[in-house]
Amino acid sequence: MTIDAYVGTLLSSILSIPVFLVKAQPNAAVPFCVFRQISGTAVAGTEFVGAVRLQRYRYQIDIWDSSAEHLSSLSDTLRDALNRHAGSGTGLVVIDTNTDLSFQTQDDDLNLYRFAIDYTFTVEHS
Amino acid sequence: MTLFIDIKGLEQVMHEVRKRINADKIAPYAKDGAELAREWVYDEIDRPKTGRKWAGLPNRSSAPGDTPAHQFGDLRRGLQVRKRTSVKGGTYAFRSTAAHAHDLEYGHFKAAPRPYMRRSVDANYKAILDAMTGEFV
Repeated sequence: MTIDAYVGTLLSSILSIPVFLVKAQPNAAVPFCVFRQISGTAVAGTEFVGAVRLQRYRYQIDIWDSSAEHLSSLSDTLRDALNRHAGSGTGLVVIDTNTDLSFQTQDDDLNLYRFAIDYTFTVEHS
Repeated sequence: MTLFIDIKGLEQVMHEVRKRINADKIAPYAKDGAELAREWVYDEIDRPKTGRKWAGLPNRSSAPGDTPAHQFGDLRRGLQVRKRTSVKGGTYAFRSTAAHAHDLEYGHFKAAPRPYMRRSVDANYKAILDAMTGEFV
């Protein structure tokens, strides 16, 4: 299982809305979520961990909605479920997650609200 | 519930660390780290891209998710390394001041992100840390 597949499945189960990798389908109805990997770097040697197969993946997760209230509810749900998440998939173990950035914007022309957040997944591959 | 952990002698250790770490000594390393991150972005911007070739733009654009392409040089010119005067000590900021900097980094409804700032910091994290710890450990 790839880390992209793991994160996509996880987000679908948390949010229960359509989830897209990299780019939403044209004309996708809101609310929906788009996630993409920003970076992936080896952890070993940079911190006090012994394992050499640890990787840290940064993901940007965007949720789009037409209702600010509903978007706020979705973002709370995401934060509650994803902060300090640990889990496993075939060939990988997610040891921890961290967030270091989030913001909310409004597109007046499209009447859409966006919540964006970065999560870093620390993963051990087997 | 709150758990308090008291480590005997920690105050004296922290006092000694503060005494030994001189902000003037740290500053060049912080600046090196910020410049390292900027150089990485310069190299990435100059790398040929695989996205669409739009009429009116001098170079092929970047594909969604890739780092931005060099077009008119605004992004490149807007990359700054500046000493942060609002923070005491040897702190440098690496920032992007172009008008479209945020839209490129985070994308918007009609365009996927072309991340370059976060990617640069993540890619150079170890090098920055090595430079700092090499001096003080």
